[in-house]
Amino acid sequence: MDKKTIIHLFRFDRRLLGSLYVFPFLVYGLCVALMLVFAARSDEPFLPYTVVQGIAVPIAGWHIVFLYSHLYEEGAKEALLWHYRKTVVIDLLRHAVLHGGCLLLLVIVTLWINGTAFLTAPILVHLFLLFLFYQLIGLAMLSVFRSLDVALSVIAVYTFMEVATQGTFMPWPHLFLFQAPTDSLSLLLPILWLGAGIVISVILIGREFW
Amino acid sequence: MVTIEGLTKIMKKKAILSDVSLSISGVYGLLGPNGAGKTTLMRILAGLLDFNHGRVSLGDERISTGTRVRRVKDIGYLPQDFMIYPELTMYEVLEHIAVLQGEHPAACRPKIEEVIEQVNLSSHMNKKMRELSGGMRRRVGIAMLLLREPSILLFDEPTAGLDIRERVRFRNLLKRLGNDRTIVISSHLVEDIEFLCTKIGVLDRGAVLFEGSPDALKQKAAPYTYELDVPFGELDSIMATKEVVQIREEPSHVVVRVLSEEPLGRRVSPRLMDGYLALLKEAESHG
Repeated sequence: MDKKTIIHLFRFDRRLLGSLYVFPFLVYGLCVALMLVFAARSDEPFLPYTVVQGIAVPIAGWHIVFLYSHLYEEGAKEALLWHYRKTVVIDLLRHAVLHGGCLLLLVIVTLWINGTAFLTAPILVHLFLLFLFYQLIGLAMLSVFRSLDVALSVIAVYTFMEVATQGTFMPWPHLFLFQAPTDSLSLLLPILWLGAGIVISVILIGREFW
Repeated sequence: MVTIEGLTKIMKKKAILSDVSLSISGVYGLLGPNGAGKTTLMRILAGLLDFNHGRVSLGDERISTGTRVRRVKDIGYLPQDFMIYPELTMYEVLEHIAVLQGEHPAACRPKIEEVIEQVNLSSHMNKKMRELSGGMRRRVGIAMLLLREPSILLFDEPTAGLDIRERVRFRNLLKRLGNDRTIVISSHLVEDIEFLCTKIGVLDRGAVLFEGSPDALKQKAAPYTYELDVPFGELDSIMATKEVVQIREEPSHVVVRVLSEEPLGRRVSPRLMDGYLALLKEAESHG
């Protein structure tokens, strides 16, 4: 796929989503402001990082969910699905690159606040898997529920509950790291859950499009 | 030619299609009452729905693997309620579809203009999809399929809900498209099938009742089709006691066409509607 086609696809996304398109970028800006406020008010290094995990990473899946929700509108899926079989991987990749770039900037802000020693290899692996999970789960949920409202609600409720209560509210799988892992299990469990979530999402997306 | 052999689809323990075998070629009409399984069959052929048993071939090539028809480039499907990207213009939609199919964005304009011309929508190119009428939207759907150049087009109830002018326009378009493609039209409207199709399959409650030429279907009603001249005052009693398929008003009386096993009035040559109704009646009487 050449440069002009990629540019066309981004332009099409922009036209299709209208003002919704810029929302994730506004949220990224808000995240920077929140991280700076938290850093100024607390010495806890995971607090600014929670903003990256709990707000920026989930919002990175925004474009894919809203773009593909058009496939599930009345009268569209049967006509459009065939065409998106070839493009779904490219769409996932180009949005991963776009949002991955934005998240990289937020990680740099985290390092600037917490120092480079903060980002250990396990945290980096966890962040990468969390990003991958949120890139895929929206489309997987859409393919299951066939409704933007339901898919978004499920993701938003889980994420909000987890982040707002720091993973203490419900005894369901915990995907986030709200403090430095104290033992191998506290790191391994979220990574295992994320791995399972990613595999299941890939299977669901694969079943839908191929 | 598409060959369907022994296709069975079971949903919630109910057979929606049972042992359906058809040979589809030319402009093929899939006729049947509501709930006969027409849409299910079309969706299976389009690769959108699994089936339980059977096989589907395109020419000599088997295109079903396991319990699903592969989504092949040769088959295009237009659903009954076609609506995509309501806030974008028709041109933007078709341009995007062309790009998704691998066309270069800078080079696809002539091809898009050509298909828009084919479906006679050139003057509406910059209208938003939501501003188009139902018939126009379906024509955009056809334009979208034509971009892909499939050799087989599946249309599910293509004229349902269209006003009479749009319906005529749409039927003419389908007829033109049928000159160099295999077209399958599913409909419960006999007039559409009569106007367009060279071969007909009739489904009822998931089973094939008939497959053959329109003339062969007409002949099903040949022994039973009569016309009666009825005074206006007796029309109600005739309608209550006989199987009336059509009424034509004349200045002094009403000409009533009936299907009857008993000789009544004068025997007339059957039309497709008569054959279709006779077939359904026969199926009903056999349970």
